[in-house]
Amino acid sequence: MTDHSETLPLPGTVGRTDLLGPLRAAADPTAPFFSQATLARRLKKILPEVPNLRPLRIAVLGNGTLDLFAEVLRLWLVLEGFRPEIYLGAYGAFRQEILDSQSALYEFRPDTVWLFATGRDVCFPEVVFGADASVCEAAITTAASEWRNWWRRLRTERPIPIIQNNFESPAVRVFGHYDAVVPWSRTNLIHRLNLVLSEAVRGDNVALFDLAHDASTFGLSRWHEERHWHQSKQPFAPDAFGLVAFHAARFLGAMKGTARKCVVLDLDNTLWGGVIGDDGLEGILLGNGPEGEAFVAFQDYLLSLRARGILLAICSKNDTAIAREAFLKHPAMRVQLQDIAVFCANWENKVDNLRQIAATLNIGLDTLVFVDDNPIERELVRSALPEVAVPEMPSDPAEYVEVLAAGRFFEALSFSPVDVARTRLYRENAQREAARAATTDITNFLRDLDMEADNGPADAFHLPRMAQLLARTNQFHPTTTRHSEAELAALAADSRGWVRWFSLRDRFGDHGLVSVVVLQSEGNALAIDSWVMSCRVFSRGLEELVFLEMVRAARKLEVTRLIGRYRPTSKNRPVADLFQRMGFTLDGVEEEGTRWILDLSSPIPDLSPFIRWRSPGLPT
Amino acid sequence: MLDVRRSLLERVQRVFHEALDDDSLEITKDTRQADLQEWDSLFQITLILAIEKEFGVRFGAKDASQLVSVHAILDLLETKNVQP
Repeated sequence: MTDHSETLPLPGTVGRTDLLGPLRAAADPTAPFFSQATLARRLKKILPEVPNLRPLRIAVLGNGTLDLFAEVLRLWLVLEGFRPEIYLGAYGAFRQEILDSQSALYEFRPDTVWLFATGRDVCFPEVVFGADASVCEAAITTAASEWRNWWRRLRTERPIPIIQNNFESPAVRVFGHYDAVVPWSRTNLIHRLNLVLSEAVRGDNVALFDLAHDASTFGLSRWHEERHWHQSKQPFAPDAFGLVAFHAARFLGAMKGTARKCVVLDLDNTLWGGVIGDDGLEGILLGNGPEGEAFVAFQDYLLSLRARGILLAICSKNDTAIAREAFLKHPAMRVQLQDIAVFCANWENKVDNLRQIAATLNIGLDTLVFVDDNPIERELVRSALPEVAVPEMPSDPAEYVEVLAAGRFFEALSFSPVDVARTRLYRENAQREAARAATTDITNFLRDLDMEADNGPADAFHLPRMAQLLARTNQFHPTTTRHSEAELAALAADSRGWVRWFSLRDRFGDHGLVSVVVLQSEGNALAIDSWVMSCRVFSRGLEELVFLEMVRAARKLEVTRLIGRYRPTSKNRPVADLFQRMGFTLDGVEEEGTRWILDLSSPIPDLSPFIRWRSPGLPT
Repeated sequence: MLDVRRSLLERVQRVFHEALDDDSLEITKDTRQADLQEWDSLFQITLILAIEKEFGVRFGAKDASQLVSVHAILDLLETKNVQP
């Protein structure tokens, strides 16, 4: 299996020098505005020389003076690996700009729009003190509809991802605690508006930015300091800009596919107190007592990560049998062996072990988060593997959860049953790899896997998982598209095109939905707009099988040619020769990459003898 | 120049240098907004917040609008009885 750990240039690095290193080390989301502004200025000076950043064109639309926030946002976006172009729009005129199709906003051609609303942009004029419940409901519905109208208007002009803020709680309580009791208080109107908004965004496929949570985290009374608005029209306290910008950067990173996927954990003093090799099973602190309880709480948090689809791995300097004993025998142990995707307990150095873990799971080093209580281990990994995120752990285990959660390494934009099953899927894959290692003949291995594939159209049931696969896949993705569910549904509705999911199972288990193809009509040909496949099922013949189905679909649509496009990124080099392997010929070079053509009038060989179809091929 | 005012000036100079990330800028007791290219209305906001943080003071809206020269900053800091 290809080792992808060495091939990815870290954003910002020239050779092994991370030009952003000093800024990264100095940057702290909770630092006051003044520090953020200083770092932002420092960044501006070096930014032209920083390589390997992903371009991002983002329009941030809101009321107030957003220029200073934009400076801080740029800093955190760059640290996340973006080269941002930020459009702010004319002061106080974002509504006009959305409505006017000739406005500078659309001329800017953003690839993302952030409706940077705050509580100041929401009022409920019809709701007087003591108002009827129905008046309250109507006011909330009206307020939510206003934002929905902006999304739809934006979408008609430019179908791109939209980020919408929800609204922070008011700091001032006119009645005191009574505000929380009555439906007509601004406090409760805002809370219920946020709930309505969270449903509305799901319906319209808009990403919700939880500004309300950031305001609470920062502290409502500090957030709402009125003088910042009166003096210079800051949307909220400038000292909160770092926190919001950092969260936004992580959020956008997740939207573009760079959220982390796996936590690699040390054992001694990370999952329990003490050293099991010295203290023995009875001597480690886990369960009773303040420290023991802190470690249990940390394990519970890790379990919740695993339940939502984040992989857990162990990387510990310990005797394997002694380490496993804790999981098998300690009564207070919450994390179990079946929760662990890869268990690495030996006396090798952790840098090699981390590389091995990434290779075993076939994920990049840049999807790992390494958690270790030992500052020396942390520093070693940071310098040897700068792609791995290594949060600075506090000395008090009671703070472990808070610190790991605050790192926002695992921002999510969706959740599906596959997430729940992910650890099981990876463990099954490990069994497959063990079987492969035991087989000397690859042909026998593939035949013995007893593989069965299935495919189907983009129906409501499969759409979420299809969009999720497009959003998360970086390696097998020649065009790196990130279509949302709504966009996929629209593409599927085009009768001249073809959108399909593919699943695969073998004798070890069911991989589930592992491939998506989007073909779009282009003249008298069909262009492969998107072709993704999960890294779990590389090199088993599924690519060839999917390709044959594409050819059948194209012939059925009476199309004579297939067009493939390869847009190289730092991550999709594995598919640089994909079209060539499938028999396409290079047709030309375009701005973003290469174009390949396949003439469908000649016969296409069946290159996939080891996978059979569950249902007989294509219906319509 | 009084010792108090001189040591206040030194701290104000440091604030400018850090905020603009440039130790080479010449900031004197006579420097005005018009003298410094980087001192635009946006930097004004950063400057006010930085001065507040450095000296532990709060400026009201009226005060903030008057801080358009180093001289004005020093005057205002003195009225707030800032410890040098």
